[in-house]
Amino acid sequence: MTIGDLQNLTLLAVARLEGEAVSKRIRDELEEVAGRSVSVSTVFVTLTRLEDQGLLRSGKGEAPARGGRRMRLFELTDAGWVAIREARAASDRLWEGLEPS
Amino acid sequence: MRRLARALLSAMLPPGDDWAAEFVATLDEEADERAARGGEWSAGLWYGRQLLRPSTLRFVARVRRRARGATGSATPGAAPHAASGAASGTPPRSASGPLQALAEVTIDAGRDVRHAARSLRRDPRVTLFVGATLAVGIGGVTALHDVADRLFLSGPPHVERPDELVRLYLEVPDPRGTRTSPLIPYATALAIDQRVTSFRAATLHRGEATLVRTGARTEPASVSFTDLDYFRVLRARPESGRAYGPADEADRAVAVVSAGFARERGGLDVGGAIEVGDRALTIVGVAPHGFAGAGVERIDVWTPLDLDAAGSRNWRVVARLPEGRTPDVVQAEAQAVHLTQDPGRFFQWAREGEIGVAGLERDLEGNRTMERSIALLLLSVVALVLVVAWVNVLNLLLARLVRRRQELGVRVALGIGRLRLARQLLLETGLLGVLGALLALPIAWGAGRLVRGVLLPDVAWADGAVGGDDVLLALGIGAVTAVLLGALVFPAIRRPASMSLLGTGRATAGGSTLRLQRALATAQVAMSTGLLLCAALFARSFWAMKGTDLGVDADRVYTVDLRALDRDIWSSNQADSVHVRALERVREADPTTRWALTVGLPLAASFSISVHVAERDSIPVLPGGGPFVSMVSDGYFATTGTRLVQGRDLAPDAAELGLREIVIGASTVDALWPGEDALDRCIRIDGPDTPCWTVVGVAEDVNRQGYREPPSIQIYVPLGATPQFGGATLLARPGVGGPGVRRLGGGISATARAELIASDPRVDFVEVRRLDSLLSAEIRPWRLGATMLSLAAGLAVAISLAGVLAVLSYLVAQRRREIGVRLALGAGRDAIRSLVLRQGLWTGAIGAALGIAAVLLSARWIGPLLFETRVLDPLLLLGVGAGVAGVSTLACLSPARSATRIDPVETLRASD
Repeated sequence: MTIGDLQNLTLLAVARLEGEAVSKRIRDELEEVAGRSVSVSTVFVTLTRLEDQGLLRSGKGEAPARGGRRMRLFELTDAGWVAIREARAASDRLWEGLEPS
Repeated sequence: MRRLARALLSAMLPPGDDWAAEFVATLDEEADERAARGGEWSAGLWYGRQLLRPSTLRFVARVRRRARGATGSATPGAAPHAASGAASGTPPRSASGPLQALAEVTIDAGRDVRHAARSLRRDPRVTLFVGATLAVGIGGVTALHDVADRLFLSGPPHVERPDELVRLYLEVPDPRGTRTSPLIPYATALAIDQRVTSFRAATLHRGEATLVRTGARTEPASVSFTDLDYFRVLRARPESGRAYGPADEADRAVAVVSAGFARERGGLDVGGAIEVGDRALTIVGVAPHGFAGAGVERIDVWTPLDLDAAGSRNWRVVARLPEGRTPDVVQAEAQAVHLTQDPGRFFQWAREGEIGVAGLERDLEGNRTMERSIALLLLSVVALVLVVAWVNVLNLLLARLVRRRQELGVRVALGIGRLRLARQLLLETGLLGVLGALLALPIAWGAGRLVRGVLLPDVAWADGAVGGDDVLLALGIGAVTAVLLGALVFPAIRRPASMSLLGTGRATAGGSTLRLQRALATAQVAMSTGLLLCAALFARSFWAMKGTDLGVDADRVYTVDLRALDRDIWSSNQADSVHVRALERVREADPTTRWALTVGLPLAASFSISVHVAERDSIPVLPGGGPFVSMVSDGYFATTGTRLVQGRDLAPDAAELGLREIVIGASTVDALWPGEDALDRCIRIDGPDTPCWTVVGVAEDVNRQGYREPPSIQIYVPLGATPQFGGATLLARPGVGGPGVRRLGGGISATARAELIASDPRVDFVEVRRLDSLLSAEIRPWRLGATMLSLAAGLAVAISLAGVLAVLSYLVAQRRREIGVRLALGAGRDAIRSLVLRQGLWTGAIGAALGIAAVLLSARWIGPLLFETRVLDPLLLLGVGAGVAGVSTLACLSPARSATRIDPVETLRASD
């Protein structure tokens, strides 16, 4: 499956957050690590779309220690892993020859 | 704001969905942070913006689809948790009723707006054409509404409760009926002010162009001389400083200046010094922008006069009535005062008059009446252009709709509701309305500036050419346009089932749509013809006016006024010597220009005298009045270009030699000695026993005041021979220009100007005006009427021709198959061409006939606005009618050509 740039970054952020991938952390990760400032609704619509495409799955996370709400926790499906690997491979192939090895 | 946005968002989201709840909670958290940083207001704005983000709408659409998929049949890819129901965190409240409905509409509207915008973008030429067409109509209406508003809709700006104010005036008998004089003689005005008790307070004022000095600058300005009650009665407050009032009784050397004047003169401010005439004043206040007292004309300076000292003059009277008091009570009381009051030696004419009382909206000057009529006419004209634009846009939309029938058919087949379809169409027309309104703003600005500058240059405007209210008006008209067009287009899709055109791909329309379109095109042509005819009538009036023989070459002669702050310069006979000296010097300095001196100015001012002739017991009264006298120097007739029809000019040194010779006007001869020779006759001035003046020449009649003028008795006496009148004016008629003569400041050379300034040390300023500028106020309405109507008519014709073209092109597309069959059956290409041309010709001819009929029916209203032009001018009617019909036939050439190029084989195959 071909995915867009933001989808790719979102999948990578979810993968990096391993067990802590809730919407808020994902948005922070995108901003801090990838340098992409995205709105709340953009993160939510991207996550929903990726879930609809079967690249992510979600479930209820643990309740926070001092009350507060339980947030939806995301993780990559197998198809999600395949998608980011494919994206990486495509990118690598295109990079080939552009940099001194 | 934030709560409303949150409620709306919650209503849009499916209830009980935890993922949606998390979204709302995340937005809430972020909004809280923003509220802590920038306040609740900024958080609310941010929340509102989030609601309008396309990504929010996409998210809403996605979770709603999931929720639907979960409750209905299983949808592939639906998220497993979607129907979990057990919401954690803060679940969106289940909205009910109107909020839910609003939420639904918001979601759909967002999608529909995008759809409508896409659909309009697909047809950029039509969209732009429609937008521009609407813009012209909306822009014109907006600009002229602004003008009409200032002139007769709303009261004077910065005046409290203008509805309580009234103007007092005099109705004076006149040889031609009665004349309204807005000016009341001083003694009467003062008596009314002091003795009438039925109004709360009255104020006296008069405006004059007066020489004003600020710093080193001395120029004429518009000064309003008032009593001390002026600002109190008007209840007007300056923008800065204070208004003068009864407290200034002891020292009246104060002035209030207008904001515009203060700015023009390099930031005059409270406490500054100003000289008005020969009075040195201190500025105590700056009036707000657009303040013009009870009138509309621009005033630069207000200053209180000691009315007793300024006695023998006429004043305007404005009074404020108590709540509920009617003007007729005031009228009765003021009239009673007027009857017992001697108006004074110079104002015996007022004795016969009757006091009138009218609200501020009533025009007393007479000269504004014409401008109001023209402004109203122009407003109706631009409204008509707007209607033409509407009709045209409607026609185009109908044609477009028929082209889109296939698309609409597919959408109906896919299950789109009729209401939704109607809403989408309404949104399309709505976007067109907004586009039209936005494009209209620069047009309104330009047209407003033009109308203000050309028609009403003396009016004080309170705001810019396009203000906030104009933007609202333009948007309002845009909205009305949208709704109107939507409502008219809707019937065309009322039966979407009939649009089941799947498969054939052929656009066909019902006969009713076609008939409607043809009727609309005809209506457009009719309206454009009407406009064109009005434009032609106005242009003819304008040229008739330009071509009027005024008896002087008004476009080649200049009046040259010597202005001085020191009023002593004009007292007694010094004026004559100052002017005579100036005339001698300037004649020597600039011999290429003809110079003359006159007391009594053609087209502006003349003096009334009594005359006697031996042959008649009494002097007949001509419709134009008189006898009027002008005192003129030698060379006067050569300077003004007034023809001498008999005899000779006055002798160059007649006054010095004591020669009693005069020149009289042609109508004077007809009145005094009809059918006889007037030369060498004797006229006695001011009494039957005074010495005899001999007629040495007869000059053509000269208009005394304006373009429309009946003949009057006119007499020219050598300047200096009768000393009782003052106020001489220099006249200049520049020659073709000698070598090295540089002309500056409208007509006279720099050398001449310098010489005039040097002729007397007290002369501060030389004011040069072309003689016809004295009449510019009179010709202005026709000039503007002709220009604006031509412009409007041109636009309307262009718009409706495009309409005819669109209808016929559409017609050809409609009848493609029929034409193909005709061609296949052996019909000639010429026959096909004439078939289409005939349609166009009919539309043009019927439209033109209807337009002409409409103008003829309204001749009663249009007639009085014209100058020496009849509405029922067969040549003009036929010319315009044939022109419009001809041009609309030309518009059919292109559709006719495309009809002849239809390939019968291809058409028939396509229709299989």
